[in-house]
Amino acid sequence: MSLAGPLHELSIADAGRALRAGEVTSLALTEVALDRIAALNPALHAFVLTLPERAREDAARADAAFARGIDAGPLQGIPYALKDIYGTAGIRTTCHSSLLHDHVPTADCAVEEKLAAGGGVLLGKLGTFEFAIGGPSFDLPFPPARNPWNLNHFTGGSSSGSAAAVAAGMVRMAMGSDTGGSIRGPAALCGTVGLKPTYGRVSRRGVFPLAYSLDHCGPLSWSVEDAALTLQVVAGHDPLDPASADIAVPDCAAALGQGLEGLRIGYTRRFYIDNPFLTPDATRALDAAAERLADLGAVVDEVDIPDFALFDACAQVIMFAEAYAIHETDLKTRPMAYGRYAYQRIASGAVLSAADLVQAQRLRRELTDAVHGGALRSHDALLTPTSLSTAAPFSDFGPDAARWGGMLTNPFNVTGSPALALPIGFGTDGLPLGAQIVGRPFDEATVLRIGSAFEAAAGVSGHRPPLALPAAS
Amino acid sequence: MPSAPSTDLSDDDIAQRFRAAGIVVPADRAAGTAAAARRLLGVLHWLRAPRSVAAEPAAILVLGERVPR
Repeated sequence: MSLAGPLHELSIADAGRALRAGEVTSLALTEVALDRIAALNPALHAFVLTLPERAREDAARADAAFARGIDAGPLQGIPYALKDIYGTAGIRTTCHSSLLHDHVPTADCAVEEKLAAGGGVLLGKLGTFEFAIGGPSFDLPFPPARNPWNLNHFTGGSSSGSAAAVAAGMVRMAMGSDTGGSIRGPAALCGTVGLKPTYGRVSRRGVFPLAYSLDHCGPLSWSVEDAALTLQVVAGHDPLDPASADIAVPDCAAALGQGLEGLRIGYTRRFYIDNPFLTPDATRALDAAAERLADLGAVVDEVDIPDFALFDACAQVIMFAEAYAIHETDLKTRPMAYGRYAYQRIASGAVLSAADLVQAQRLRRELTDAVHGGALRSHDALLTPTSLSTAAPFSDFGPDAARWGGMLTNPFNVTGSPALALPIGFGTDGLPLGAQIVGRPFDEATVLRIGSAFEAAAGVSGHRPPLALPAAS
Repeated sequence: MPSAPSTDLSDDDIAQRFRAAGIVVPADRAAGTAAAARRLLGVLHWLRAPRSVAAEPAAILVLGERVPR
């Protein structure tokens, strides 16, 4: 094969083929990535730490392995990066917070163990909202990541650096985490793919928690196939994560390209159509996405799930109760070590009662049964919005309000369902819009199959952010 | 679609909840913290609708998978 287009735009799949054909080296892919990071990161602030020496060592090791005929899997020789809540042995892991500014873990998290064993090349650590919850803050050790489509707009969060880095072509894949939408939200607002696997599919061991019973780890990538290939490497049972499921991981990439004939997809239009944050651009893009899935051969019909307000109440109470429990001591003893947004949001959990949390857990079971036993019993998957608008400008965030509306992601943290964020078009402001495909527990294969078919037909991923990034005002 | 979250609790009630939890909110963050708490308290009524039988028991302790097979 010949290499078409610039190296930084090669997908994991194509780069992998080129590596195995001897047409490119891992070191070459790594140098291109490092050059691109050096050129773009001063404006984007996606990376909070780059690891050029480590990356070159990983790349040389991968190239040597290829030369000896050793193949550890689809990520061998592929550069990647980690959200800075993923613990990395001997490498600073800050959670984007002054509280952990000098924190250097002694062990790798489970995901990094798997990526390293799979021959990946670690480029560095990526910015996040503080402790994966704060907001686009300017009072932290590192500035917030900026949206590659328009530097005056935020990226969504909390996997902000992960989405910015993938959208800008600094890296093909970046790991994020998702407690209420922190993979899928920034993926949608930055025009990338983001996969929240089923709760229990990917180990969270060694990743700083936000809320134990809602946290998920997963990849952001430019293509659905790259998300599938990454899942293949990072998924699997880990007895040291109590939520980890001892369930076999299927070959999700093998299901791609099968088309949508025979699949029934529920379109949750009534779930969002009266939401006050909904924009006409999002309505048009979502309706068009539903029509496209039908054109591709799926049976698409409208389906109902419980009211978003119920999911949102359940998700918020559980998230803030758990987050407060994790941070209680530091909130009391070192409050000013937190940035304003993270402090204000996490501390709010102090006003909840034990009864509030128990009621939320009871509702969680009811909502989960309603989705899995209702809409996802009659349908193979759901089409539903990720965000109801494009990315807001930084100027929308005042000192006391870090929360933004229009994200419909946390219902599937409540249910634990696999959910794939997909770019589906652009708003009139030129910024990306996204939808999500939600599946049955541990059926990431179907979710990815649908996403891949849509991606190939829609052509949205053919559009990249402008290379000549405009100056921020 | 419900209206924006709200709560009947006064600012003093909310401040009392923070004090009861042992949280001393820094003065320059008091307004934002109270606003975040007010939003959170405003959704609680959604949790207290009558439950169906299917919602009980809450199943928060599962030992079945720990039985040797």
